[in-house]
This record gives sequence, C-alpha cells and structure tokens, in this order.
Amino acid sequence: MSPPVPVVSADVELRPETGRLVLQLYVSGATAGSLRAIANITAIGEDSMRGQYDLEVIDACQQSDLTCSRLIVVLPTLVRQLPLPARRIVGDLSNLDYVLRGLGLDGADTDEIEPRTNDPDVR
Amino acid sequence: MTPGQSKPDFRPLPQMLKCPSGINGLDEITEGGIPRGRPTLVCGEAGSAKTLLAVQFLVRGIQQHDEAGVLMCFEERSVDLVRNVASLGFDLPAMIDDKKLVIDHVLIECDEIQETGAYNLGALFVRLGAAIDAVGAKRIVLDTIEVLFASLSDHGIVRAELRRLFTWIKERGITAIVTSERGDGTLTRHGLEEYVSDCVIQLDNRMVDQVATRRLRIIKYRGSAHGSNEYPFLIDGHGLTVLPLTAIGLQYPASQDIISTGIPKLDAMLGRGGYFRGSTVLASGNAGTAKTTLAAHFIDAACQRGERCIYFAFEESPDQIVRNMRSVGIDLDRWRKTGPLHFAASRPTSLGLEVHLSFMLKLVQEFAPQVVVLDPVSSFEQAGGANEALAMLMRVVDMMKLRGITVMFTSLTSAEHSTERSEAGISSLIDTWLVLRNLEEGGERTRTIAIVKSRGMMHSNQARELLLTENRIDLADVFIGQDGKILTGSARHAQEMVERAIVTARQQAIASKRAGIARKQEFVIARVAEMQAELAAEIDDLDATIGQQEAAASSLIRSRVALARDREQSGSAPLLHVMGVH
Repeated sequence: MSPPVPVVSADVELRPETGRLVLQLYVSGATAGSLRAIANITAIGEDSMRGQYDLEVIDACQQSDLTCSRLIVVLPTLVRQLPLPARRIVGDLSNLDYVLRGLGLDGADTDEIEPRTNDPDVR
Repeated sequence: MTPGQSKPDFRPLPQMLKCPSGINGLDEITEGGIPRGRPTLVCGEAGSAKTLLAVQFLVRGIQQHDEAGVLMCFEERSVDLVRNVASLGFDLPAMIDDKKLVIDHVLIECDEIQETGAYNLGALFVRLGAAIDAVGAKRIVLDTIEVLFASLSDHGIVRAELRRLFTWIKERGITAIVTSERGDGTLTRHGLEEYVSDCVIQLDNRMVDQVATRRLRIIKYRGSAHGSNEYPFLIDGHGLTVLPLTAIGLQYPASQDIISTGIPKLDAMLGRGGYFRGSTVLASGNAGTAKTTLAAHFIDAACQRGERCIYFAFEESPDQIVRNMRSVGIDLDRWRKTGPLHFAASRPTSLGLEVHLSFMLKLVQEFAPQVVVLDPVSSFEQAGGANEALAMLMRVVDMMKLRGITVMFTSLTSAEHSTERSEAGISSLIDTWLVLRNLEEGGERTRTIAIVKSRGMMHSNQARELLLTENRIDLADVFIGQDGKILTGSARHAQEMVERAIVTARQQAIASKRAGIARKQEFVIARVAEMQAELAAEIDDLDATIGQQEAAASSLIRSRVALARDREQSGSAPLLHVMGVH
C-alpha cells in the first residue's frame, strides 16, 4: 500500500499560494496508453510549467482504494488538485492545447472559470 | 456414448443456471430467474421502476440467498437512492453495515472533464472489482450505465469498454442487472441490447382510462423458455410483484375436499354435498336476490368449522352487512370479534384495479384465509372496464387457487340482460355457478336459486325457491304449473292445496272402485257356485239316464240270449248271428 495521500484541504494548508501545480495522474499499469500519458505530462510540465509542479503517478489497478475514494472512472485521468478548483483531464494527454486549457495554462485568466453546476444540461 | 463415435451428440445439455430474481412472480415467468453469471438488461422509460427492480434483486439476494451485492449507480446519488427505496422496506444502510452491500456512485462531471486523446474505463473496472471483492458479491447492478454516453464524447470508446465490461462480468461469473433508458423506437437509447443479449426485460407504465398500469415483458431470454406475455406488476410496501396472468394460471392442485355451502338443502342439490375446497363459486343475480345472504351463510359455515375468512365488501360497510345478516339469523359479528372473520371494505372506484389487487394479495398473504368472499365483483367493471375487470378476476382466481382458498364472488346482473349472457366472460373462471332469480307473478316477488354448473360433480337441475326466514335461508321445491310456468310463493301454496285435493280425490276414487270390485267378486263367486251346482245336477241327470239305458240294454241281451237258447234247439246259425251283434 502506498502512503496515504493528503486530502486537498490539507494540501492547501501545506502549500500556500506558491504557484505550483499539484497533479495526480491515474493510469492503468504499464500500458502503452499509460506510458504515453506520463511522457506527455512530463513534457508539458517541463515546457509549459517550467518544472513548477508536483506530479504523482498512481496505478489505479494497484491502488484501487484510492481509485474508489477519488471516484476515478476513466483512465488515464490527470487531476489538477491545486490550485483550486480541482480539474480533471482524461485521455492520454496527446492534445497539447486541451491539456493546457484544462490545467488553466492557456493564458486565460484562471479566475474566469464559470461557476460550476451539477446540472449537465446547464453547460 | 462411446468415444470416437461419429454420430452427433444430441444429449440434452445441462440446463442454463438461473438466479432467483427476488421479484415475486418473475421467477415463475422465467422458469427460475434470470441467467446466473450473466448480465440481464432491464429497459424502460423514465419512472418505469427499473431501479426498483434492480435494487430488489440485490436486497432479496442478500435477504433470501445470502448473496452479497454491489450497486453501482450512475444517475442517482447514493443517499437519494437509499431514501427512495426505504419506503419499500429496503434498509440499505443496514446491509452496508453488515458488509453485504456496496453502493458506489459513479459520476462524471462533464464540465470538469477535458478529453485529450485516447482513454478507457479501466478505473470503473477497478472500482467494480474492488467493491465485488470487498463483500464477495455474487450480484451486481449497473443502474443506467448509459449515462456514460452523455458524459464522454467518444462513443466508440464507451461502446468498446462496455463490451469489455460485460465480457468481464461473465468471466467473473457474476449475475448482473443492467438498466437502460428506452430509446426512440429502440429498446435502449444507445443499443445496449447488442452487448447484453442473454436476457432482456422491458418495463412499461401505461395509462388506460386514467389509471396507470405497470407492465413487464421478457423480450428475449436466450436458451430458456419464458412467458412471452405482458404481465402487470405492482409496487407496494413489499416491493415489486409481477402478476403472471396465464403462465402459472393452470398449475394449481385440485382438492377432493368438500366444504358446506352453509345451507343444508343447497348442499343436497350439489351432488357431493357442497363446494370443492379451493374452487371458485359465483352467485349472480339481480338486485335483492339474496347474493350477500348466500355469501354470509358460506362465511358462517366456514367460521364454524374454525377456518379463517376474508370478506371483501365493495358496496356495503362491514357494520351494515353484520346488521343485515342478523335479520336472517346469522351473527357475523361474533366471528369478527373473535378473529376468524376479517372484513375489508373499500369502494372499487377509489383505487385502480392493480392497487386493489395488490391490497387483496397482501391481505391474503398476511391473514392466510381458507375462504374469501368478494361482494360484488361486478362493481369492478365500473372501476376499470369490462376487460380489465375480467383480467383482474382471473388473477384473483389464480391467486386464490394457488393457495387452495375457496373463493365466492357475487355478481350483480342488470335486470334487462339475461343472467347467463352478461356473465359469459367470467363464467370460464367459475367452478360452481349459482343463479339467483327474482320471479314476479300475481303481484308477488319471490326468489329462486338454480345451479348453472358445478364442475366435477352431479348437481340438481331443478330450480328451488329460496326462502329468507328469520332463521337462515330455506329452500323449497318449486311447482311447475299446467302451462309450464314455475309457481312460487302463494301461487306455490295454492298449487300445493290443489295437488293435495287431487290426491284426496284420487284416493277416494280408488277406495270406491276397490269396493265395487269386491262386490263384483262376491257376485262372481256366487254365480260360479250356482253354475257348478247346475252342472252337477245335469251330470247326475246324465248318469241316471245312462244307468237306465244300460239296464234296458242288458235286459234286451238277456231276452235275446234266452230267445237264442230257445232257437238253438232247432239249428246253429242263429247263434252265430247273436255273436255278430256283440
């Protein structure tokens, strides 16, 4: 078992607004898709985030309790835990523009994120 | 078979393993349940009770078969779901605490997710696998997995992953129910039936005459026989119950026991001395023909035997029935107070037929009666139309017969219809049919009772007059008048007097005739004696004449002999002459 993963609220206290991104990448073992996703996020992290990020790669199959508790459905899933609000990006992260937009690194103001709603019809 | 034989092997394959669904009635239709170790698709519109059926499958699996379950819901939040099914007596939190159930809510928030390239649903497998392993689940439910199609844009991936998921479920040998919303002209919105094709069940909630009726149909069941009709189903405090109409309709045992009608003379009219136990009895007739009274006799007799009865009253209140029956000398109140009789009164129009049926079923299950009376069933036609009412009665009959309950229906027939015609539909369900009639003749109304049919026994073909006395019902023979009319009431009394007079007159005539014959006999005897005397006198006379004749003849011979002797002295010839005379 892996060490317990700090919950988001704890993270916030531990890491004040330092501008660092805290990322978790859930993958399904050492499959081609997983490796592609890891390679993509690492590349993006070096290029676009200049290393200002913490990445934890989690094998969903090995850490099923984490997968369950974090309500992961799709693999690979990249979770941006910080800054808040949390965001999820699924897929092998091969589309750079989408990943940057998903992480809020596409130059747009991160504060412009619309108020979220649980109603899928209101999009 | 010996090995190496080239003949094709036609040995019957082992029967498909089935998993009891826990839905009352569904296992009868499917001959044992849904396919064990395989996914079953349950489809239907919104609000057609798909989730309820699925949850009941899990709950009954835990309660009745000790098979743990996993509920993976994609739509409702777990708390909402737990609250919704609590009204049906399903205590999901307790089962979760007992480590018999896991509920996992799978939610994909669309606005939270950015799709970038290829992905799969591997985490769903991980979560499902973890949940199954946590409780050792044998049953799982995926409640509206099609939500994934709305959440994820790449339907090709979702399809491929669902196919993989169902294969994975089969490999693990887990019995699954997958629910799906009905599509436009298709069974499911996204064609799930292509992947889950072993067993497909469709649910439906239709409005007929402003009354909603839920129906269930098995669309396909690979490798198994199944009932193919649409079966109505109910939802009540015990969950979901399917009411198979015809599938199990004719499987009930037939008893040889006879139970009394409560009227000794009616028992005598029925060849075996009463109704068969577990049979259906119909008493039909116009208003005021003593249908309820007949039913009360039956109830009273059953209670006296120590049996339990339910009286479903659809037109009168229990107190009114009790009061009215007291006037004919039947005290139903004591049975009501001491327990064996239970009254259930409700207006037929107050509830839909399905709800009535569920109410009856529930009460019958709880009270476990031997005798049930429905008074009257004709009022259901007002509540739901003739066809629906008939279908409902058919289910009532099935329900009672399966439990060996003797059930008596009363039915009000309108005056203008002939009794037999208006009851044509219900007749086939009925084993013993009593027709009560009102006769109006000479300013007097009287009641008659006749047996139209009584399956499995000889019965009287004659109508009887039904007399309501202060001390129960009595039956009297009716008279058929000269013109073939049935005479009852005072006409019957008059006819009885006439017949009695005729009998007396006939007896007198016989007596006088007998006296005449006696006199004639005496006369004949005397005459015979007289004639015999005459005959004797004539015989005597004849004898006397013969005697004289003989005497005369012998004297003549003697004189001739003397003459011959005298002649012999002169020659022999005259002697020969004398010999020739002799």
